[in-house]
Amino acid sequence: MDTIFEFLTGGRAANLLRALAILGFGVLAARIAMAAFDRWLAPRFPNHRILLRRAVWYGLLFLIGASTLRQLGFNLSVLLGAAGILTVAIGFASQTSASNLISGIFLLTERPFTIGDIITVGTTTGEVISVDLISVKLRTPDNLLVRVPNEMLLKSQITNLSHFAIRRLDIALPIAFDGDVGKVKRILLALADKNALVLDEPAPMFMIKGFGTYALEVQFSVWASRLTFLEMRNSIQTEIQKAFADEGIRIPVPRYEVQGGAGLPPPPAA
Amino acid sequence: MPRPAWPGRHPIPVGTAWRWCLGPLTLYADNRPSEWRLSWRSERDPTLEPGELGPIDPADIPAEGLQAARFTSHLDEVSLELVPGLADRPVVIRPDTAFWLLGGERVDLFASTPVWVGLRAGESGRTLTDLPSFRPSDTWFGPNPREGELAYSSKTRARLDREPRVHPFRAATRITVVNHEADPLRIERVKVPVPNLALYLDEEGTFWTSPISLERIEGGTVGRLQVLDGPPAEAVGATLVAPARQPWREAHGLTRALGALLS
Repeated sequence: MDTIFEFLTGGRAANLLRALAILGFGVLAARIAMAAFDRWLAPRFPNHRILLRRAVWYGLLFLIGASTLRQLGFNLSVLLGAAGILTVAIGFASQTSASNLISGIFLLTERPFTIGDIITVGTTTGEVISVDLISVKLRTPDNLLVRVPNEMLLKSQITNLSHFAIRRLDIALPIAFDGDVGKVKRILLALADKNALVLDEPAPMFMIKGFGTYALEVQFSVWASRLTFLEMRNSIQTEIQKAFADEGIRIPVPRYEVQGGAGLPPPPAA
Repeated sequence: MPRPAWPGRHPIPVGTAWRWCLGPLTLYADNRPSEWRLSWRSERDPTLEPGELGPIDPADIPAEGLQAARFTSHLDEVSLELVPGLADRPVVIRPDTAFWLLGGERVDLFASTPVWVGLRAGESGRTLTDLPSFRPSDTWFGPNPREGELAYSSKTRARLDREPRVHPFRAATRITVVNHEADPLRIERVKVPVPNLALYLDEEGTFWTSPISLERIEGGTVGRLQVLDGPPAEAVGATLVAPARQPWREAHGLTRALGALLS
């Protein structure tokens, strides 16, 4: 009974109430502030909104927690000292996370892609669905979630497939050495002209790259809007295949000539 | 040329169907209970002439080779309105051969672009879809693949005189180019802001758009584009059939780098 009386009159109860008030009102105020911050962020930083919101939210929680502990009578300098030692320990243990975090900040400023872009990192291609504190999440065309650490993104070559409005498709075509290159060129340009998804400008390009080991190497390049790129890629190549078949243009395959030397046994009879 | 019969409202009671041969576009509308079923086929030949239109047996609608779309409604509507319109993107016109407009000269070019067909259901006029009578090729209009705008490319050639006969599913545009500078202006391609143009039908049944004018000013690097009100003088007795898709914001289009208007 005396202990309870002492607790109530000794000021500890008041401190506890104050601490609880700081905690309660602090969290409430932080939530209201976050809602306003989020409204401000949304139009200005739509792609890094989640990242920035989390950083500010955890910062506010840290301040509220520190104020609450101080009100309860904890000596924060001792706590911060301990926290310093803890930070060093955690720092060693979480070098990778810290590196990812800092890489994330660099990516935030560089902005090589935004949410919704299609990017290729290493061998993975996918749509960016979130840019987070330490990683970026991609959705691959076969609907898998791939988490790419920010540090890896910073070190790797990133190809953004949807940054520009139009894209070029390069079609490599081997043409037989005895084939009619002029006819092939006319057919390809006519197909590009007929296909509504192939852009008139930049104009389709026909280029002879050189003599290959078994065929003349030709490159036919056409442009399309990135929105219709896949559709164009399928349609133009289907049309080329059909036109070549109709016109009797053969796409050569590697051929190997094997000669037997004197003294070798004759091939077995079929 | 008589006024075309396809624009307007067509009675299609529930359980019946119609077919329209709109040049390169053949369109079928099948009115089912609480549902419009539209199907169409687009040919790649822009010169195809319009054919018949009228009711057909729903069973005669081809089952294959058509694109299709279904539109549901709690109302059983008994008519379908076809509304002429213009393309939803700018159209780039390219003359046969690039030409030079001498200093201080002006020229009227005539070009045509495909007409779009809007489908509106019943008395309410609710939009079902918009279809091009001929889907033009895509093209890019800009100084390089990084900067520019996606547009349609018109296979029609810019003429210096009015076309003797505009295809029934194309709309003619008069483009006046004025060179206020002393040196010649090379005209290779012209971007026509088709979504900002109104569509008119003259008494001969020819579609016309609002005329536009392009002026080269201020040392030759800046162009002034204007969309003129009303039909061109060549469209005798023209009436408005469709307003512009997007209002013309003169403040934005008034002056631009010349390369953004023609090249």
